[in-house]
Amino acid sequence: MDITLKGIRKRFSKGREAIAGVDLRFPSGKITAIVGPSGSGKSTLLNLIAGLLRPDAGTIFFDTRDVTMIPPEKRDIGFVFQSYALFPHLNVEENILFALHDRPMGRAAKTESVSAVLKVFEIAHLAKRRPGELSGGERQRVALARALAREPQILLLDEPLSALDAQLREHLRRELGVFLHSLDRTSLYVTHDRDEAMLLGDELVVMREGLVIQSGTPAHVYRHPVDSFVAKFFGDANLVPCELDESGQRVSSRFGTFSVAQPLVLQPGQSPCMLLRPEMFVPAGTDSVVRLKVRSANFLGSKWRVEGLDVAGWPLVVDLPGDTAVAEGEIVDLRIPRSSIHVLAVDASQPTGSAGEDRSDTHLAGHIYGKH
Amino acid sequence: MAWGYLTTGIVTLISLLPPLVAVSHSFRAPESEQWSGSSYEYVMTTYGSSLSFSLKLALFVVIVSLVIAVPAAIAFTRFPFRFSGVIEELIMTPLSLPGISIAIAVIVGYNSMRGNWLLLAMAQMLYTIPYVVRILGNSLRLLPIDELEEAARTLGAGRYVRYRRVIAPLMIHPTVLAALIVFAISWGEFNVSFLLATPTQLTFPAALFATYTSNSLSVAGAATAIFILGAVPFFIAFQLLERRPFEGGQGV
Amino acid sequence: MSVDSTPSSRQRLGILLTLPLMGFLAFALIYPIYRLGGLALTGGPVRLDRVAWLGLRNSIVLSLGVAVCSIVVCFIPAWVLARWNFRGKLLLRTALTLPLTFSGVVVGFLAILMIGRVGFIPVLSEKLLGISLLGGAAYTPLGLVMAYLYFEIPRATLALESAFSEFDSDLEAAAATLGAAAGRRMFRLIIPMLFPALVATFFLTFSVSLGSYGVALMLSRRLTLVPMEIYTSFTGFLDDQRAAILSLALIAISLSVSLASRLIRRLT
Repeated sequence: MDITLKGIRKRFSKGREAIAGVDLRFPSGKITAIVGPSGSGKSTLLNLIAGLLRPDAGTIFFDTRDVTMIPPEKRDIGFVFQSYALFPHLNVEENILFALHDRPMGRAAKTESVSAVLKVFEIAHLAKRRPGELSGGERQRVALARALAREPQILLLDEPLSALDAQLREHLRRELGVFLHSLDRTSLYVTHDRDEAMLLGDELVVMREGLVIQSGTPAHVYRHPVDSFVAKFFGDANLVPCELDESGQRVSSRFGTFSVAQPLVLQPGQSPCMLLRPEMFVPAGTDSVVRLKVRSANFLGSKWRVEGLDVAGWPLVVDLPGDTAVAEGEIVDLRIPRSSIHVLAVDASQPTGSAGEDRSDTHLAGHIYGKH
Repeated sequence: MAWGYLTTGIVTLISLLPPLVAVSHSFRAPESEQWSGSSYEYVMTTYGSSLSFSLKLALFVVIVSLVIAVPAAIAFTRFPFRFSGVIEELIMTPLSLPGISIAIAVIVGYNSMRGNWLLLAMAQMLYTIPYVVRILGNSLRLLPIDELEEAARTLGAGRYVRYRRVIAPLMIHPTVLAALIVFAISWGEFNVSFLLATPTQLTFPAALFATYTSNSLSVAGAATAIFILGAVPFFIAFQLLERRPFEGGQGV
Repeated sequence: MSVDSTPSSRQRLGILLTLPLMGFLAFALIYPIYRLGGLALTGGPVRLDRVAWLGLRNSIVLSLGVAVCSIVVCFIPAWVLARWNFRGKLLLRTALTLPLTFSGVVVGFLAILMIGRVGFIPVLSEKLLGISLLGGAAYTPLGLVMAYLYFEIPRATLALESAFSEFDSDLEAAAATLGAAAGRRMFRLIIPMLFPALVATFFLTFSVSLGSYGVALMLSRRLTLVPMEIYTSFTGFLDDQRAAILSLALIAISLSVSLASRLIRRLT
């Protein structure tokens, strides 16, 4: 079952529009991760699709069925809440039994069905426990089991892992990913964590301030971000200014000339920047185009994450193979073994540089506006 | 840690000694030649009607207080409207106003109804209703009821199922708690009962006062013992019930 | 995220559910107070006799004293209840809240039993120590204070306990790591931070003592107190107007005290 949103707008009484106009299609059977910073509207969007909120404008279709005005209890959805929302006065078994309340089955048949579900999720041993007695990971599984007990056509998950501690989150992330893929069911997964989104999503939808900025496969969004915000959201991004030639198909910079991966349209006040991801640099010999003075080098096992300045004083973040030796203060020679590069149109007022997750911003702040 | 035991000891002693002394007096026979038999028998015979009157009144007050206050508490927490905050504050005021003043005000307001037990009930409810509103309000605010209701909706539950199987069960605990407290308050209420006391309309606390001004310590002690008996079970019950039935429930 | 039915329909439902309460409020509280005011103001300007003023002064002083003593006495038990866990804690809590069920008259009676002329304590101390302590104290101001305290301690302790339990113990730990000894921590950190709660409890205790009728009824022989004046005016002298005026005076004092308490809390 696919989901189609047209012209969705939603404003809360506080004033600002939570959803400022969204047109989207979620393909059937796929897992779509909806990512964005907090306040971007992603949870609101999920609640609108669930029917827990009604849009101010626009339509929502499940396949060809207009569900915009249909209340959530009739939409045949499964919803996993961020805080799980398990009924505290019922035990695990009863929580899941609740999902079957309107099924025309006898009591015995329902209990059997619930046992089957419990087994699938490996929580049969928790059947008689109350939610208050469960650990975070256990509650998560119960919430998932309950949402799926009705075998809904659509599964909606609102930051299902954010209530867990980091270690558990990482472990469950992979398990959840495998599990969701095995379901073969249209699933929407809201998260603010980009790693989660890239791991779990067949498709990504990036939101910011109530609008969809970009959508596509994780690979596409990573390699061809539509603006610097998306570029930096998914990883460290070196945005290096360059010049577009008249044909608009080649750029030149001090790191060489490249063809433009996708056609670029510049608005007034914008200038082109090349997107150079850390992994695009390789060690070079005489064919070096980049000479990097290392300011900090973090060993991460499979690679070195190196921050430094090139000869022009431009800050860069690059990845080097883990089996090389890197030390602070060294000069490293690098080249970029590519012929085409993704180029972004960046507003003159926006900081460029290699600020990926804002942690590298501090010591690079002096170079933000491209001195030297 | 020693402070804990020391404090407990001292406080327990101070709290429990006086009632114990009172009860100890009750076992002596009444200092009156006309009565043979224990002080308790005397109290039950003379004031038995007060006892039943108080109990019936308390029951009435519990039911009516719940009927009035529970929907209001639900409204204040889940369906607030423009002046609901003000009204909630207003209904709480009798708790911080002097008891005697309220009693006088009520009697002055309805002078012609002085012999009517309904006036007494109404005056008692000025104290009981705020407690119900507070207890139920706290419980409803503490539980993530909105979210649980949403979860029920996503599981296909229509309005009736949601109220019957999710919201109502969660309200049982605080409602029972509130009922117990209301009973205890009505049982022990003195100010208005005393001012409205007539031979046919005598609550047990007012009867208690009568025994205090009699010359018989043992009768007074027996009456006090019976009073404590009526209050303590409920009080113990709500101490136990105070512990929340569901630890946490969800989330971290 | 709230259930998304129209806001105005939710408001209408709220109003509907509150109608019985609003009706009750009008009949049981607003109308009586209105009538009380009317009665107090009949016949021109409000005037009080000397005895009434004396009673007011006594009641206020007495209540202030009780309030101060309550805070001092209840501080430790409230702290213990709020911060520590030990066996017998339930007993402490039970013992503490038992007197809550006693109305003022019962407490007055218990006071007479304990420190009246032949009360438990004087008799016991006579037997053990040869001197009778506190004999007849029940009817003195001291005895009154003690009786009121017995009445107030449960309320004050529970009020303080809830405030104490919200106090973040990390703050105390931080102070300790910065070298502050227990005494310093208590006086420079804890008490200042808990000041609003202490103020609130103080005013609460004051208000309850001020209006407490049962204790006064039993024990105020030689001391003139307002609740008794109200009672005698109302039932004895049938001077309803005086009773009304005094009642309103008490209400006014309680309200201003409660407002003052809120102002102070908001300022700190």
